[in-house]
Amino acid sequence: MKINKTSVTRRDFLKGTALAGVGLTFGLNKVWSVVSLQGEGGERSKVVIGKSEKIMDEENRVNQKVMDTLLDEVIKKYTQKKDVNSAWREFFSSKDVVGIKVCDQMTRTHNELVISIVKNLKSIGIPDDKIIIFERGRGGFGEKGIFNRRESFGYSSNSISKVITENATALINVPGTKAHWLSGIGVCLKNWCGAVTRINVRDIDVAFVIHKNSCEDMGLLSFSPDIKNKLRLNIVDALRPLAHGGPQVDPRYLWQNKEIIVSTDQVAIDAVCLQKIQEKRREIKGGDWTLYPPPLHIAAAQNKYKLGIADLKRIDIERVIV
Amino acid sequence: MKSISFFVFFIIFFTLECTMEQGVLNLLPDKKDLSGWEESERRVLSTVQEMSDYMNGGAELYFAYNFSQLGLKKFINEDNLEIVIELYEMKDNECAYGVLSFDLSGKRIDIGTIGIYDLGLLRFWKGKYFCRILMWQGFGDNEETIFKIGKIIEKNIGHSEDEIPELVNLLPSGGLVENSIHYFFHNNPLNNFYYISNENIFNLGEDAKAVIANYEQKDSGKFYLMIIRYKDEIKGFEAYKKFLNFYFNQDISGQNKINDSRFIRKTKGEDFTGIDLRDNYLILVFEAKNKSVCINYLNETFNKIKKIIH
Repeated sequence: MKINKTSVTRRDFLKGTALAGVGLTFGLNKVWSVVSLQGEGGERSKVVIGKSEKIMDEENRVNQKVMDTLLDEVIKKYTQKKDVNSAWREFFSSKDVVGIKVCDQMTRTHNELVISIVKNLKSIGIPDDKIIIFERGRGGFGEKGIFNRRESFGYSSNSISKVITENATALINVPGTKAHWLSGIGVCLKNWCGAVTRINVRDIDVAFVIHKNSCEDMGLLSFSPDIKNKLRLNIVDALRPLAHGGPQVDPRYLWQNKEIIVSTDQVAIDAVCLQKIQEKRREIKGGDWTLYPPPLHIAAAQNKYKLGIADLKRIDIERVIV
Repeated sequence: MKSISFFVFFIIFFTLECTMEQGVLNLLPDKKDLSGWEESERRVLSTVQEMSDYMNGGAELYFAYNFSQLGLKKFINEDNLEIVIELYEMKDNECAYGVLSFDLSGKRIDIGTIGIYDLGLLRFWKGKYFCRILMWQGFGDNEETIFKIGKIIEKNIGHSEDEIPELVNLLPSGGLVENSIHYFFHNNPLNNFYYISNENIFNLGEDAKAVIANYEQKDSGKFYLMIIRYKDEIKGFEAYKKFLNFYFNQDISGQNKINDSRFIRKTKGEDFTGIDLRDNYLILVFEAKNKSVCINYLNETFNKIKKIIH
């Protein structure tokens, strides 16, 4: 067979399939990054990363006191408030009913982080019965709900948890951090999968078609007004992320990262976590270890659903060390 | 009379179904087998919804390998340490091997046909079963318990004539990176090993099974080799044409056969990609640093195929 001289690179080929359409690029160093289709100007986002070496011991037990301090410092840094209560009041009032969407599956949200969040909400006057910690159609109230989430709330006719549609006036998104075999990574945007029903990975007879093209349309869930209009804050548990093969956990790919990450922009956090996971993969293999499949949903959340900023050039990352 | 017969049939059918479902649990250890451990959960999961509720999108990995059911048990000890035991029953042996091959890396251990253990996670394949036994915390002092559980399950599964799928043995051995082999027949797993497209451009499926592996050579660097076996030559040629069109913009859709199917191309500023077709086998080399690597590995794979065809 004669070789046609027209040359196409694999990178071109990847772009040609779906990546360019959502603004995801595959760099020369074989890492994914998001670009803004409208250029680099415009809005910016802020993300605060809090880290403490003392937050976790060798057996992966979390120190509650350190967690409390770390969350206080991160929230203060994010809001630029000197007082913790004032910082939390930037997002919530005592009249709010706050739904805390945790992750109960596989890379679970650490209870210690939820305890800290509940303490802070209570300290600004939100009582236990106005704080709902939930996953899917089940949840629990206040401090007890951190450990016992057996109350059934069910789902609304639009297949979204009634905690969101009927109970909560405000939402906090508190996911874990992981590489994901269907979507590249699963952090903030993917956490809402656990707040809806009638979805399946084959997108057959579903309420939300989100799994095709490496879960490119994951942002569809957050785009729903029920979630979009109530989501006030994202607090990501990046204490011990998973760098490969998620959601099922292989402990070899977990690492003690000892961070929590806060932003009102869940897309920005996902972009930061993408970078973090890719860096860790390179470290584990001592070189290239490309993250597959490409995390199209982060770029699409920015460029298609306009949910936030995923282009790292437009994200201001601030750090707190405790 | 008719309705009584139907009722009896229904009861027998229902009882059989329940017994078959519970059967997978019978392969797992009981409390009496594990002194100091209390059973905290036991259930069987088989539907898409049940699996999705348990592990979200992780469930699709098992469905991509013809999953039948999952037997799940959890045990807790007085220190509140937990052991999670998952026994996945697949359609057949090669499906169970396929699931294990999602990640073959790790320390080999003598449990099952292939057993792998590291940091509190034991995975093994035996017969049509894939097993995962996981301790999140405190595994250092409890590894013997993990291995004991594995051995009980292995014994309960019984004798099994397991063989690595023939396709895997067609991979050239020179430069093959240890434990980098992945066996699959669905696009989602492929996208985790080497992403090419979200579309199923190779027409993977029950009649088109594949293996991919990493290679590394001192002079030639790292590259990938993939072999796909199609049901027949026609299906193989269809996939060949589709790939050429998608990947290289070479449209030969009007052709029914081709004299020289070897196609090696240096992609702009990148590496060499090679493809060839022999009978119902499609062979591809990705990211080779030079053309000779493509030629050598395509040739060597062909020679291996020739031996089983003729």
